[in-house]
Amino acid sequence: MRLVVENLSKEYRGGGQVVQALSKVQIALRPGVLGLLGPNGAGKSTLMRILATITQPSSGRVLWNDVEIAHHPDPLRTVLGYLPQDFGVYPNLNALEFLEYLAAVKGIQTATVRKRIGELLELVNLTEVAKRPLGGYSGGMRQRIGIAQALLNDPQLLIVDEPTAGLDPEERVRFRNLLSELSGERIVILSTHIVSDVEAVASSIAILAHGHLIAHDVPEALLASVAGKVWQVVVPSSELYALRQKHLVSSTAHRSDGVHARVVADAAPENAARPLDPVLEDAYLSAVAQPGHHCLGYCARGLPRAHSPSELFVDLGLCALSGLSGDSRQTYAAGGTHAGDFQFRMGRWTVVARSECVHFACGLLFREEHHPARPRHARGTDSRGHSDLEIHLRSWENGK
Amino acid sequence: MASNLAVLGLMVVILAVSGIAMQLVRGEDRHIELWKLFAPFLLLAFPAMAVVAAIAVLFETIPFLRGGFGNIVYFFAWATGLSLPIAAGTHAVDLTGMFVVADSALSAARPSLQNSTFSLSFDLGYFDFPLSTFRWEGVTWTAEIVITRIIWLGCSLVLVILSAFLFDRFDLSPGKPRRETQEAATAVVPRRVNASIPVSSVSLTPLCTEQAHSRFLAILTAELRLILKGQKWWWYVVATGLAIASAVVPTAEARGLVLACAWIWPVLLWSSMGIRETREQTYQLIFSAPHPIARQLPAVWMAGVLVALLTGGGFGIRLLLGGNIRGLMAWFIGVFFIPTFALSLGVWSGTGKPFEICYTLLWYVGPLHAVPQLDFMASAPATAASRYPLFYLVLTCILAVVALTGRKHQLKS
Repeated sequence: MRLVVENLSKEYRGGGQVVQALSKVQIALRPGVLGLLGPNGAGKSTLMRILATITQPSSGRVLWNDVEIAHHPDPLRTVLGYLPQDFGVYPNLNALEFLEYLAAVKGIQTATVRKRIGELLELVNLTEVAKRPLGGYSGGMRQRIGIAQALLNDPQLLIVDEPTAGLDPEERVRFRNLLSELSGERIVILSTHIVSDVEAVASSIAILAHGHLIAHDVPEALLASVAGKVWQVVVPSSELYALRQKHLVSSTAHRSDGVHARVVADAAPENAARPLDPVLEDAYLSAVAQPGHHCLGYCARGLPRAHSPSELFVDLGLCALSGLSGDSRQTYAAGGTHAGDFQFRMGRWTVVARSECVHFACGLLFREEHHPARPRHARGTDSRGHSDLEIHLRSWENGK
Repeated sequence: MASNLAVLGLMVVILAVSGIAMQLVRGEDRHIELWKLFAPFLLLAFPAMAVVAAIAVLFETIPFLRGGFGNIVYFFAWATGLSLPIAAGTHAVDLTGMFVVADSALSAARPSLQNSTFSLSFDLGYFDFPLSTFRWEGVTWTAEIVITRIIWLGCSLVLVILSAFLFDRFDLSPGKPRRETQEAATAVVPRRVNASIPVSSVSLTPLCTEQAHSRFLAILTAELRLILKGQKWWWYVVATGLAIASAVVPTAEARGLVLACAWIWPVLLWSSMGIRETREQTYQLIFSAPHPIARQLPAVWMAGVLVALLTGGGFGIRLLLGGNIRGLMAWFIGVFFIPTFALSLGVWSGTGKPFEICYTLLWYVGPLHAVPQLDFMASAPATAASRYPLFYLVLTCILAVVALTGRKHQLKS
């Protein structure tokens, strides 16, 4: 049983733009659980969809037991269990009918299917609502139906994309246990941006950022890469922002003596810094924040017209990714010189720029409110009433 | 409302500008009288468009008119509205303003054609009698006409205000809760489970080694359940009533009319064919299963065929019992044509609207008004005996290939 991905690339074209969702990804998998980590928009779902034969790659190939799936998808489809990130159900069918329908579509034998469906419903804790129309299910219940359908055909290749989204903590732990149980003689690919989910079950971890595979190793090796580089620093909350500008802060906790910040840095950020044992989150953030992989960030170029110095947002590409919170929905980019804060909305996004630091003068905070689509261009109004500030956003690829 | 009106208004403007172009291209007259040319568009078409735009908003605010059913209702309302001034005997209900133009044209025609009788009809094609011409200077815009048109504008505003009262999507809390909310509220919450319970306490039955067999009957049953489930009880009552009526109604002509009704009734069922996977976002689950084209697509098609057989079955049985084999064959072609038409349009368009509109129009002009060329269900005995059923058989085959190609395209995109 072997899944090989060779030089896989995927481009999306539209609106006169080409978006490189995946770029020359190479990976070979044997039975076990692969945790696929990456920030939103890293290309995880695109990779999952290609592996699930839903999407065709632009170039490269995927081999399932040495058979190329683009030309011969059915050998893989026969043994595939797939839980997409966004999927729907037929609202008028109940759970039993829906699973029976999918079992028929997958070609599973009638003799065993009824019994297995009952067991799967028990497994995902939906037996009591099995005869209710799916239209009345909550998001978490639908997610569990998704998990059940993915296991219908006892898959050899199980691909689950953000499987714990919408599950309560108890069900989430239960699902992680289930994945551990299932991971014997099958390949499981678990895609998520929640590091703790992967930490619990993965036998190997791949990190995707901006379509590039930037790491693929066992958890121990990833942890070893940041051994001796994780520090605890206690700072007053007023200095936290400056700390974020200078160092990669993986987490913070407010205590009575100040903010306890977990910092990933080659050397101690300050004399009082205390070394800590690294966890996977440190390794993950360190990997995605490496020079040349500032993929979480979006580069902003401002074209000031009537106010502020002309250096505003010049060449952000030279700047380090100065701060990155644990929540991948917040990304800081920094650069240029500018005096004065401003905040404005761009479609579904709110952009906040701050200016209190010297070298990394502006921090841009992108808050994804509803939708993952990134704006490419916007106009904003700063706090001083200037309305002619124009911001261009471009993806930050390989630090260029 | 404003955006609807802008779209419709733009269409009218293009039509008006085309009028100038046509006049110049055909060399009718180089002198352009802008008011005479644009006045009908402004005074007749624009108020009509305003009402149509307002109706669209109104339909959006009424849940059961929001989807495909609303399209069908609008079609019949439009068809009825066209003939309403004649039926009501007053031009006050002439939304389109068609009779303003007709009356003006007839008045102009009367002096030069004194010995003729007058009637108004729209027609295309050739006439087997000599055509006479008359000079028409256009509509004389009286105050009465203008006021009537302004009243229609007022009607559109009333409809918009009514829509505003009916619109309830800003606030879900007051009044009676929505059905989904009710369902969610009454949903049985599964018992809490302890996460520490080992998952292995539930063992899964192993599947047969070679499990991926074709289970066409199982898929067909599931597809049939999918297409039929979720209708209100009265839908089934009407469908059954029409199926029985098409068998027991004595005269062939009347049976044809009943068959036409029986085969418009499930239009919203057929219009979901080929689009359900994308509409309900299940395509990733279905298209990642083995052989999606060979297994699932034929089952979808066959479920549509079975719906046609069930709803129009009475007519078929009557043909069979009467020994009308030719009629039976033509009826069968109709049975195959409808779902194939729906599937091909659905797969390529990704929405049920094209089928709902095209099929309803075809049904209205063909079977209902007995135009043999468009009578795809051969509801009239004369059509069954003609060569038209053969045409629809060929068309069905072409549409099947189109549907198949569309699904292949979906899988490769």
